[in-house]
Amino acid sequence: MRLLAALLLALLFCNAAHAQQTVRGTDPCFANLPTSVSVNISSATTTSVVSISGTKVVYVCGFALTIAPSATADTAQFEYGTGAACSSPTALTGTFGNGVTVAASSAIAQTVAHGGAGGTLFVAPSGTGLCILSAGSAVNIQGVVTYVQQ
Amino acid sequence: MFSNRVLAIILATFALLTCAQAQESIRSANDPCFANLATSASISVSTGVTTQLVALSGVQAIYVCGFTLTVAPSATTADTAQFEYGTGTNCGTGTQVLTGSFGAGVTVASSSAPTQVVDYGKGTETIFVAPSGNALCIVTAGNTVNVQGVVTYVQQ
Repeated sequence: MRLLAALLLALLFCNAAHAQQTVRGTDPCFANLPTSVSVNISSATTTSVVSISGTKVVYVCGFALTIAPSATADTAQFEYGTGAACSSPTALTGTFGNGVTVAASSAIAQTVAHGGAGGTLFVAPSGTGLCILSAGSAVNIQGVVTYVQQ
Repeated sequence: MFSNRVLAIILATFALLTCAQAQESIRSANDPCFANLATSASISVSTGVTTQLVALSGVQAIYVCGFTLTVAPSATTADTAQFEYGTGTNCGTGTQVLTGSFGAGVTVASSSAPTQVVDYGKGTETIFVAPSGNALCIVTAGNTVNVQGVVTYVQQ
């Protein structure tokens, strides 16, 4: 009786683990070798980071940015949309780096790094591109974005 | 031979190991940073120059699994660090950037501002790749350059 109970328990564990595996296995950042794109933005604008590719989805697996200080705080925000540079955009994150408003010469750049562990952080839906909306004066946003587009 | 309790423990352990192995096989087939023991290269650069971090090896690619940099402040021109790949001496041929120039900002004297830390990647996923037959380099710029760190990678 105890043996049967233990086997049943093991089976339940296995099924639960298998279900979890199926969930993770369907995460493109977990199941695929990601691609990367460098980020180099020097003006307040919307910059296309990953262009639209048919009906594919952009799964962002990680990113690292340094956002330089400036007299008007520099910020960077991920968004998605259609067109060449995410027209009719939808925000995917807040505006990172919103803070330093002193002259560029006297403050450290803001580093924002997230992900890179094999999971999707956020998604630009089917048929949309990934962009960064930058703002501030003396904008200097540098970095890399790691993603899977499929 | 075995008591029921021992048998149950053995079976339960076997079931859990089998499930864990199945999960691992999904990733191991696709991402070298997940499937292999990574190597590391230290970074210590004190001039504005291009420094080779990982030499090319035949047709192998370099899968970068993570890096940590400290980029010191410097006077008049901010220190920066940028990853790139290429062939030839210090990636001088066919050069392509892999990242932006991290650390662009501080231009005050080294003694009066904190160092910039850039830390990206957990070691379990590829964050960028130097393609087949290329070396990995870091480009530093600024005055009083002091870029220190480590890059973790798989070359295969």
